[in-house]
Amino acid sequence: MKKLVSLIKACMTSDMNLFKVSSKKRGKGNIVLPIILAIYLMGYIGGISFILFKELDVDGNAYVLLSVFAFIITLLTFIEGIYKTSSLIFNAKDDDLLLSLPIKRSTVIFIRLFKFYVFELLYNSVFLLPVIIAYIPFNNGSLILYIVISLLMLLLLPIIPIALSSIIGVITTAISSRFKYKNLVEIVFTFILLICIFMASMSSSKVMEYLLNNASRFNDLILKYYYPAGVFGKLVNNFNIIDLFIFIGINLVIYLLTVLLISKVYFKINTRAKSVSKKSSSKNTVIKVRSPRSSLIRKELNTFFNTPVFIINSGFGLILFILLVVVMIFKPDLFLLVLTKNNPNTGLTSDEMMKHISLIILLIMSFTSFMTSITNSVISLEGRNINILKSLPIKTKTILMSKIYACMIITTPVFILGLLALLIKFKLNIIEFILLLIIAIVMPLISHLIGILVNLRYPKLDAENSAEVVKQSTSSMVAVFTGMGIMFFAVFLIIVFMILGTNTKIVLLGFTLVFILVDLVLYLILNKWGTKKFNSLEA
Amino acid sequence: MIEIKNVTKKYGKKIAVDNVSFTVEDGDIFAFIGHNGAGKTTLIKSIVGIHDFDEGDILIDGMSIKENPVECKKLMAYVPDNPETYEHMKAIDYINFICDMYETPLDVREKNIKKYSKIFEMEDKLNDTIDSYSHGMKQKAVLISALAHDPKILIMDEPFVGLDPKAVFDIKEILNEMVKDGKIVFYSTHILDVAEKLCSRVAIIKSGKLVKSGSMKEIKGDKSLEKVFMELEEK
Repeated sequence: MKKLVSLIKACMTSDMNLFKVSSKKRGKGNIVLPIILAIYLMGYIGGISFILFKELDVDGNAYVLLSVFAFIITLLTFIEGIYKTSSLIFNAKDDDLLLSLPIKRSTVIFIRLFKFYVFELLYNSVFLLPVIIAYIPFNNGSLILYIVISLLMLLLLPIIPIALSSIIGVITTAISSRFKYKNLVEIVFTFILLICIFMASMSSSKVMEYLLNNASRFNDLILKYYYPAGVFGKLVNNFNIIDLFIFIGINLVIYLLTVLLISKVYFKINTRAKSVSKKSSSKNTVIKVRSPRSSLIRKELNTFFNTPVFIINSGFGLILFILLVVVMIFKPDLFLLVLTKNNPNTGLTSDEMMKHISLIILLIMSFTSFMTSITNSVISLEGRNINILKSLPIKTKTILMSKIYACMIITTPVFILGLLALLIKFKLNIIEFILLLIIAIVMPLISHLIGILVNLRYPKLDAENSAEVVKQSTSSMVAVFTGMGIMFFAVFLIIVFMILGTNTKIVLLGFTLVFILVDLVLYLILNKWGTKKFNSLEA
Repeated sequence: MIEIKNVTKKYGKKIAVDNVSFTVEDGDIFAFIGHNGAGKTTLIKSIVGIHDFDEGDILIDGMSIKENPVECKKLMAYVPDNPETYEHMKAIDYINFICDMYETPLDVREKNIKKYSKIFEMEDKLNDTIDSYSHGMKQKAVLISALAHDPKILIMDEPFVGLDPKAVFDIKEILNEMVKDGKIVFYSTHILDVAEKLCSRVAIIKSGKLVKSGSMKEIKGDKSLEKVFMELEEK
C-alpha cells in the first residue's frame, strides 16, 4: 500500500498538476484565467439548472434532473475516455521506468486509470457541483444526507465510463497494432465511434420533450438503462441504503475487473503497439530543397498526421461540419426541424429559417469552427524539441506563423468544399456566398490565433504523452472554454439577427469585417507578445 | 570567433552562470568541462540562442546573439546532450528539414549527407523513421543533420554519450578535419582523456563560475587534465 501511495504521489506530481505551466516558471497569474473561466462556466450551468429545477419542481420532479445531469456527465466522461485512454494507457513516457520497477502490471494500469480518474473528477466538478448546489433549495429531505449522496455520486460517477472507454481504448490499440498504419486505423476507429455517439444524440430533442412530459417516469427509464446515473435521483428522492451499497459495489467491482482485465493483455498489446513497422521499403534517399517556411509547414503537418489524439481532438469539429453539411444537403427538413425545436424561443418556422439559409450556414460554421482548436497544443507538443526550433536561424514569427498556416491548410479546404456543396444545393446568392467564403477563412483563423496565444501563455513542455497535452493541459481547457464563449456569443447574435429579420448580406458583411478586425488584433498580439513569449520558453 | 563577455544567467534567485568570460578562436577545438549542474548546458544553450541570459553578451564573429540571433545562428550547428529530434520523421526528412532552415544548397547537402552517412554507417537507414532508432543511431542522425549544412561553428553538448567506439573515433577525425579549415568546435564533456588528446583549448566551470581557461598546455602543465580537474573540484 505504501508503495502504491508513493507511486501515485510521484506520477501525480510529475504529470497531473493541472495548473502546472512550466517546471521553471510559475506564477499565481497563470491560474487566474482558468479559475475565472471555470467560475463563469459553473455560474452559467448553476443558473440554467436552477431554472430547470424550478420548472420541474412544480410537479415535485426536480430530483429527476439530477439523474439527467449524472447521465450527461457519464456520457461526456465516456467520450473523453474514447479520445484519451489509448494514449494514456499505452503511450506514456514513463513506461520503461514503471515496467522496470518491482511492481505488478495491474498496479501500473491502476495508476494510469487513477490519473485519468482524478482529471475527470476535476472536470466533472465544474459541471456537477453547480447542479448539486442549485438543487439545495428544492431538496425536501436531510441536507447532510443530500450532500453525502451528491459527493459520493461526484466521486464515483467517472469510474464506469472510464472503465468502459479504457476497454474500448485497449481494443482499439489491439486492433490497430496489427496493422502497418496503426495511427490511421486508430483514428478511423475512434471517429466511427464518435460519429455513432453524435448520431444518437441527434434525437436529443425528442428526449427533452419526453423528459418535460414524463419526468417521473423518465427517472425510471434512466434507472433501467443506466442504473448508476438513475440512482442519483432515486437516492435523493427516496433514500435507501441498499441502493447506495449496490451503487458503490458496482463501481468498485467494474473498476477492479477492468484493471485486472487490462493488465492481463497489456504487455502483449503494448509490445506489439510499440514495435515500429514504419521502415521504408525504398532505399532511394530523396534530398529536396524547400524554403524554410514550406519546410516548417510540412513539419507541422507531419506532427498533426502522426499524432492520433491530436487529429481526433481537433478534427472532430471538422467532421461535425461535414456531417452537418451532409444532413443539410440530404435531409434539410430534418435539420431545420431540429434547429427550430432546439430553439423554441426563436419562434421561427422551417420556411422562415430557409430564408436565412446563409445565416444558418454561418451558424454551423461558427459552431464547428470555434470547436476546432488545433493550435492550442502546437507549442506544448514540441516538448523538448522546442530547443531545435530555437537554435535554428529562423525568425520566431516565421515559426509561429508556419503553425498557423499548417492549421489553415487543414481547415480551410473542408469549409470551402462544404460551402461549395451548399452553394449548389441551396443556390445561394453570389454576394452572400463570397462573404461566406471569406468568413470560412477569417473565422477559423481567429480560433487558430487564440489557440496559439493561449498555448504560449500556458505551455506544457514536459508532458508524459501527447494526450496529456492535447486533452489535459490548462492550455486546451482555456482555449476550449474561450472558443465556447465566442461561439455562444456569435450564435446568439446570429439568432437575434434572424429574429429581427435583418438583411442577410448586411449581417454577413458585419461578421466578415468584425472577424477580419479581430484577426488583425490577434495577429499583432502574436507578433509582439507571442514572439517574446516563445523566445522565453525553456524546456 | 566566439566571445563570451561577462555572461550571467539566473533561474529565479539561483545563479546558473556567474559572470563568465572567455574567447574561442577560429581553428580551436575547445573543451568545456565541469561537474554535473555546473552550468555547462546553460551556457551552451545561451551561445546557440536557446536561452536568454541576464547580463553580458555573446558575440559570434563579432555579432551579438541578442541583437542578431538569426545571423549568428546561421553560422552555428548545435548538437544537444539528448538526441532531440522529430521522432515520427524519417531521418532523411529530418536532415533535409534542418538543411532547409539553413538554406543549404542542394549540392552541398547532397555531398555532406552522403559523406557523413557513409562515415557513420547510416546510408541504408536514412529512410527509416527516427522512432525506430536506438539512442546511438539518433545521435548519429543529429550529428549528420548538424554537419550537413557545413557550419562554421559546431557546438556540442556531451557528443560522445551513447555512441559506439567507432563512431567516437570517426567524430574525432571529423572534428580534426573541421578545425584544419579554420572552423570552430566547442563541446562540453566528462570524458577528460579524450578532451586532453583532442582539444587545443579548455575552460573549466564550477558552480557557474569559470575557474580556469586557456590552452590545454597551460592548464594541465605536466599533469593530466583529470588530475587538474580533480584538484580544482576539491578546492
